[in-house]
Amino acid sequence: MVVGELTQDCELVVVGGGPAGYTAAIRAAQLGKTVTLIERRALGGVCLHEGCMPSKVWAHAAAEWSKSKHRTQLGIPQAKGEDFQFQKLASYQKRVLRTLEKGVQHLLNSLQIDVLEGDASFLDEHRLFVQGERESTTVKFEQCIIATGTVLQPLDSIKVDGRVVRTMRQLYDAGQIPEELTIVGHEPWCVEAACTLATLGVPVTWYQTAEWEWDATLVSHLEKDLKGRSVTHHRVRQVTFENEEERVSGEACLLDGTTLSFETACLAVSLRAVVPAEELGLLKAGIDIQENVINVDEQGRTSTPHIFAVGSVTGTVWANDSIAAAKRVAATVCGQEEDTFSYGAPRVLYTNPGIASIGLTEEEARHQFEQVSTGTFSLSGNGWATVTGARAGFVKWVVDESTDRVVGVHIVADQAQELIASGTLAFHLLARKEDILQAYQPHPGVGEALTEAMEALQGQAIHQVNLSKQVVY
Amino acid sequence: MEVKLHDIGEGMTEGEILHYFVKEGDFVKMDAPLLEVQTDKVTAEITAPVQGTVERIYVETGTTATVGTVLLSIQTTVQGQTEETVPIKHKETFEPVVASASIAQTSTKQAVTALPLATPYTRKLARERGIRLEEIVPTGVGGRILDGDVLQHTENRTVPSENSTSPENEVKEAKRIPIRGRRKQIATKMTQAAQAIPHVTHFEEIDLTRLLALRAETKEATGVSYSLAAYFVKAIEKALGNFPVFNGAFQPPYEEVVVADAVHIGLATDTEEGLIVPVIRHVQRKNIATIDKEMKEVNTAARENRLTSQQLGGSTFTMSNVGPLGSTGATPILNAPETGLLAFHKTKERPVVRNGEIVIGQVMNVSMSFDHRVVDGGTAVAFTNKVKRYLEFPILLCSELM
Repeated sequence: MVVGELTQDCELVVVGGGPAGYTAAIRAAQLGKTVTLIERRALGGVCLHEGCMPSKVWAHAAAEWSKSKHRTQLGIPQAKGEDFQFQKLASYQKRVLRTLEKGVQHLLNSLQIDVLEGDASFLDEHRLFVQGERESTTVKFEQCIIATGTVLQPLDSIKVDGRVVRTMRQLYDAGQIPEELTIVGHEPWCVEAACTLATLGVPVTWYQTAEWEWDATLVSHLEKDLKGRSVTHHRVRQVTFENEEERVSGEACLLDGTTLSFETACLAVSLRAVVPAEELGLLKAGIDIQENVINVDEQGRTSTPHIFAVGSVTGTVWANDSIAAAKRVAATVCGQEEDTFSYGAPRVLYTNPGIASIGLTEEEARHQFEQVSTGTFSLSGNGWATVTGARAGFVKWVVDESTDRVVGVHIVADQAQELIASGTLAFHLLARKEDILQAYQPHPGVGEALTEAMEALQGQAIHQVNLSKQVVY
Repeated sequence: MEVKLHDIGEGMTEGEILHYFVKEGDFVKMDAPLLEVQTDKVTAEITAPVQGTVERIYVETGTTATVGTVLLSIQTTVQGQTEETVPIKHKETFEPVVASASIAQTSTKQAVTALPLATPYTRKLARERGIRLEEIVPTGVGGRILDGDVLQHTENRTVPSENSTSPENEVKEAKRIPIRGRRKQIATKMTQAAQAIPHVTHFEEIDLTRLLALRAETKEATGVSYSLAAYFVKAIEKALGNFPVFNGAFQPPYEEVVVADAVHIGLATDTEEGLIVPVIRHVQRKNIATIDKEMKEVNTAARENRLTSQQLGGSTFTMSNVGPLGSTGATPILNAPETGLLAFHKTKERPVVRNGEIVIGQVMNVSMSFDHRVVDGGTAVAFTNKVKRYLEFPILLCSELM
């Protein structure tokens, strides 16, 4: 490798153009830095091109597809043909992703953020070598933010061919809809893929390799939901498998110790994500990694003080955490002191109806507080949910009784990710029971379920029969 | 089963984990000691509520934990049973061999109880002023830090002089002493008292020549020598009888002073771990001999760090006998919510004019701090004069006792 003849001086260089990288770049530019962003493939990164966004296009399609029965009830003429038209979905997906990518490009341009294409690798603590397709450049920087994301670690025992054996990101390929699918993993994208593909007609088996971290009420909903979609679901200790021609066979060790043999035409595995330490030349810049993530302090600073890291390279799993952290890191880079304090962040699963949650589960709350009460309201009692035919789901508040404070909100609903927004605000503004009761919501609207769930906590929800107080004639 | 830090004494809110007697994987019997906790008042053992195996220790030694925090967990059930009925809790036992978790999805939910309560805007106010939320005394409902608390804290914060603003390298070289356990408790209490109460201190000289003579006589007669502090306690109690308002506590929300019937005198005691205030209760009912005996008991207990919760808290007036250590004057911070605190300084031989002649007298200074919301200087001086009178003419103390 010849060190590029061109040397470019930069104030701040951001390596990686995914949500963490471009967010950090934009924020730093807004705060007055001259920023260069290096992206090796396409702006938007894994989130936009392989992860969040494609899977959500499909989740949305599945949700809409499952509404077709509801549509005919409304008198909307049924579309011709019974089969799902995956090719159309593929072109829709392409359009969506292109729009989003262009949007990012436009934002970066508007702030005069220089985008370099190529693979970046540290030469030392102040220089990066960028190998582009046609030319290479050396970038000399004052400060740097590493936001490259992770790479998936291949398996020893089996080859990922993108067809019979796939990564979770390779599932949303309209050209290759599997006739049946086995998913192995425990991350949010596993349960989302199981729900989406099952709804679109693919028989799914899911071996869940670690326990849920959700509120027990959500878990019991999810388990019933999976059963309702005919997803074969097992929680397992471990799974082993081997490749056969055009098939994969394997064994799953269930929790009770029994083993289950299986054979599948398509195996999707949630692979271990690792920091591409060697490719990035982290050692040359003196950057420590530990257990496969870059070591950073609260401000996102690596062991080399003028180099920061953010996003999944630091072990963050959820994109909303990465985006928030990126803004903090950018502000720190620009010499501002930032809030590193958080009571928690919302977590969402696009399972249709979706799952959304913030704060403590009921069980966690009971460990931390003396007296905890919960209020749950089923959407079957909600007017708007009935109008839209989306009556599945509920809202559940978890409240510390000694202070009346909201310490957790758990939601199953169509558009759960929108409904949790109120819960997130309530949680961060340290809302108490009365705040939720008094801030009444639009009618008719799913938001009313938030008020009613809090009313249910005191046995006073209007649209819910209180079994303990029911008058028997 | 989770073992939490519970309230082991009068309204404690947090405690420092001193050390664990067990480690993860140890088998413990019911009631076996698990760990030792230091609260603002006492050191206590937390014992096992059930028999079982210590599964996990969540809170490290040296950490200050709030009441309700899960300290460790004990596995009580037989393995086979748990797996059938409750969902598996531990990922460690759940490792997939081939398909692996991506980045460990660590549950980093901090104990909500352990975090200061402040909304994002309030946190911004604090951040802009370089104040850590933990330093702020919250006045909001349920322990919320309000915007006003941040501003109040900013006002009260002493502005460092220009010389003391040190360059970065100096900060790095500085030794950092963590404020924990009793020190932290003292810090919080002193800050609260100093910020909330308008303090005034005045000084007085007391001639102890007669008291020392009386003490010597008592020794000659009985063979027992009582400490001077025992006489001070009695003198304060007698003076409080004349000025009961100094046995009161100002209650701001109700705008009233609550005056206690019983006199419980707190004794500011210097120990290795810091200031602690054991209490001699119902001083009216006790004679100097009893007071002296009790004082010696609590003093030893304080030094050996084995004061019980019965010996702490609930004082109505505090005295600080710094004389044995030296000093000629002080401006003590009140033991809130009390109205007065009297400090006794070193007794020295000094020239005294008596009957027109200069003689050598045994003279001691006292410093009387009081809450100016409750009383004014005149009353405080009158109170101190009363104490002075009892100590300069100890015969009064004795005769009134008879």
